[in-house]
Amino acid sequence: MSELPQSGRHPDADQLSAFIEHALPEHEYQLALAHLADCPECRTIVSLSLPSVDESPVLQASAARRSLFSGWKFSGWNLAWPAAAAATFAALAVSFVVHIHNTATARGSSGTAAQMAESHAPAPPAATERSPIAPTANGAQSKDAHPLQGRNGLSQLRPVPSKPSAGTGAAKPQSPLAQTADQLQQNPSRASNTFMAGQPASEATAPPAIVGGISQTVEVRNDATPPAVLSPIAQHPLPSHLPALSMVSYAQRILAIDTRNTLFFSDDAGNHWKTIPSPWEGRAVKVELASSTIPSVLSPAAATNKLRPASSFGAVGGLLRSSARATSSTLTGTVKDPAGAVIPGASVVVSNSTTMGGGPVKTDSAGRYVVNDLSPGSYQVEVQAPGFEKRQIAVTLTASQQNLADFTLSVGQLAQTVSVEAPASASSPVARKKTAEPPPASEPLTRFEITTDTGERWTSTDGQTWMHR
Amino acid sequence: MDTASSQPGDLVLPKPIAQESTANPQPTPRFSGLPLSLIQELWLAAEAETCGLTAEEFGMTLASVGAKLNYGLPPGTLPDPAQEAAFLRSLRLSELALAHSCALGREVAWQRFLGLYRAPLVQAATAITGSATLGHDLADSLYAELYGLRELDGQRRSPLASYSGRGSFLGWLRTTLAQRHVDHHRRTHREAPLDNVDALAPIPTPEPISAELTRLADAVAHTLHDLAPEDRFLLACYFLDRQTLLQISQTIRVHEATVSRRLKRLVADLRKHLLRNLQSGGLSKRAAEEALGTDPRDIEINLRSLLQISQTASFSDRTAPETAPAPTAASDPL
Repeated sequence: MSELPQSGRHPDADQLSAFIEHALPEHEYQLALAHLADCPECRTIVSLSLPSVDESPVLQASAARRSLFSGWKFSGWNLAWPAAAAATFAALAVSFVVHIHNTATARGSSGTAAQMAESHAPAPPAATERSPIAPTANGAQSKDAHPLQGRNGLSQLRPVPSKPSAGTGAAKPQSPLAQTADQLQQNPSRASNTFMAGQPASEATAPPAIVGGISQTVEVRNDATPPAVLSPIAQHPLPSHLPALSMVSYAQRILAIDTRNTLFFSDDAGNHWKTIPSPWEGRAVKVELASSTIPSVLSPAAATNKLRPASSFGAVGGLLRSSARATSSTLTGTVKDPAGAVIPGASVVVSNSTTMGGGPVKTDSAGRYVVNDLSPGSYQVEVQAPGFEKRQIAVTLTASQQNLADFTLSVGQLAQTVSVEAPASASSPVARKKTAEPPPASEPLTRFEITTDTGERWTSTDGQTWMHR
Repeated sequence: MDTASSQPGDLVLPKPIAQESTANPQPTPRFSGLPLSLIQELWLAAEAETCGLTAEEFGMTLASVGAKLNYGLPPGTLPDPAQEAAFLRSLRLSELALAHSCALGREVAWQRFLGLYRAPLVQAATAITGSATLGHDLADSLYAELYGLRELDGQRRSPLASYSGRGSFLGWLRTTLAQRHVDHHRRTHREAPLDNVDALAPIPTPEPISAELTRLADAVAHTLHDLAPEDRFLLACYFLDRQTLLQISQTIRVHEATVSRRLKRLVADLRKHLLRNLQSGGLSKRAAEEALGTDPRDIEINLRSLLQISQTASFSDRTAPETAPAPTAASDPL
């Protein structure tokens, strides 16, 4: 070992270390650089003297920290505080977001509620849902402003009932309701059933939770637990200007009971109402849809499609709709005149005895029409065009088939009914002409049903004439 | 500098005398050529007292360092007092005091040294040697040397006295470790067993070299000789020592992308200079370009001998297997 480090013409350790740290004056730095360019040994020493990554650049600080955290290494120590800071920041951010979310939910803002409700479909079945609301006798809002919170994880999906006005106790319509009304008017074939019960006139009503555009019925007991009544039709202003206690819709017809147990009926989707005199004793507390007669020719799927009380569209509504869409059929055909010329602009309405939906569609310039998304089952196809006799036929559609039904309209002739049956194996339906055959039984398969507070049940097919059941 | 016989408190620095009048200014009291006030200031700033170093000893150390380095000025330049003060204030005073107090054998300084530098020193030695065992051995041997077990003329000599305080003390320790490691490798490398020495092979007769190759070799040597020291340093680090761009960038304190660009530009300039030298030697441009396309294995050029004055192989080359030849033009992509 040499007496002094690299004695002679080699720079010593002091010079080399100062060179590495750029602590040399310029003239000495250039000398050292010139020597290093020519001296492999000194280059090697410089290369070996470079601080490694795992060495602490700040000696004093590291020694002081090791006294506190003697088990920590520098690398881990260097990462500890950034990691802790990042974790703390993330926790704060999450808690802040949750807080904002809860606050927004608690406000019950209509837009937020509607978005939440729309984005969280489907909801649990209404029949099993018993959501309390906090009613008070004088109509004041309960201290528990958000009683639905913490239940079934759906609390955040539900809007908080708006504070009722002191005079009438009527809840203001909420935006989700308006949205549902629009949907209802645009698609009147959708039926809904809503039940609101056990709530005095002065009590606050909860805005409904809209799930996929289908209303959800929540049965509410007249007990201490406040009812969370979710009605898509509650935005229809009843003539009494009271909130609806129970409401049900079928196609364009709406039957509603207000909080004073007055029954109202509308056959134009809530635009006009008329008061129905009650033949029963006591008070009507519940109105609902009931179906007891389903044609045997219909498949269960068709029956499901025909009868759509809202209560059946709770949790499984979306599944049913998607299932129906997967098995839907298409009806197409051509409308001609007796001479064989096509009739453009003819109106084609496809309906069955319950839904009365599917159209009307207009034939195109080639006289063709297409009606999509029809569930398998029996339908009445009605074709009419200006100057021609109306024509009506019955068709039975099979699943996932394109069914063909051509029409030849005549002028001045009596109505004819053509029955088109499309077996499942057939690619095109076989039409059998039946002259002057009456249409299939048009007995209403769906009827309204009223339940009174005395337990009586009354039924009606048109919503206006009631029979004791 | 030999201050081992000095003891704390041997010399009491006289307090600065206040100037009584501006008409007859008193000369500033000085010690070892430095103003006492400056020494006092630096001594306090260095907290040298905690290392067991008196102001006198610290003043002598400062004076020794300043005189050795000419206060940071080029040789032949006479520093003024302001330059002296500025240079001394730029030093790492606390580390300088600790190192020199350790060189004087002060126990309190050694305790502090061990507390602060023991672990980093072993860590650096392990990083240099690549082995924990060798690293501990290297660190222990350096401890013995630093403590001054070596005596010269009956006095203890410690390499710590050579620390000037310009760089960090840890950097100085790391560099000293690297020096000792190189020295150790060089010493053990020479102890090759005789069994492995083969009989001398007959010296091959050199084949006659064509005039064109001779001309090309001369042009390469001339071109490399004209390079600036920093360019030669870059070429040597990259092509001879096989250092990475990151290592070079850490050495010269520039970004590795800058190193890469400079190397690329340097190689391109070398080619231009080679062409120019060949053309100045009588070759046409086409012939010069053809000469550059000569197979490098046909040229007897030792770039190492051209790039560096020292003819000893680099440490990295000496750690390589014996069969690995020194890089020549054939292996260096210049």
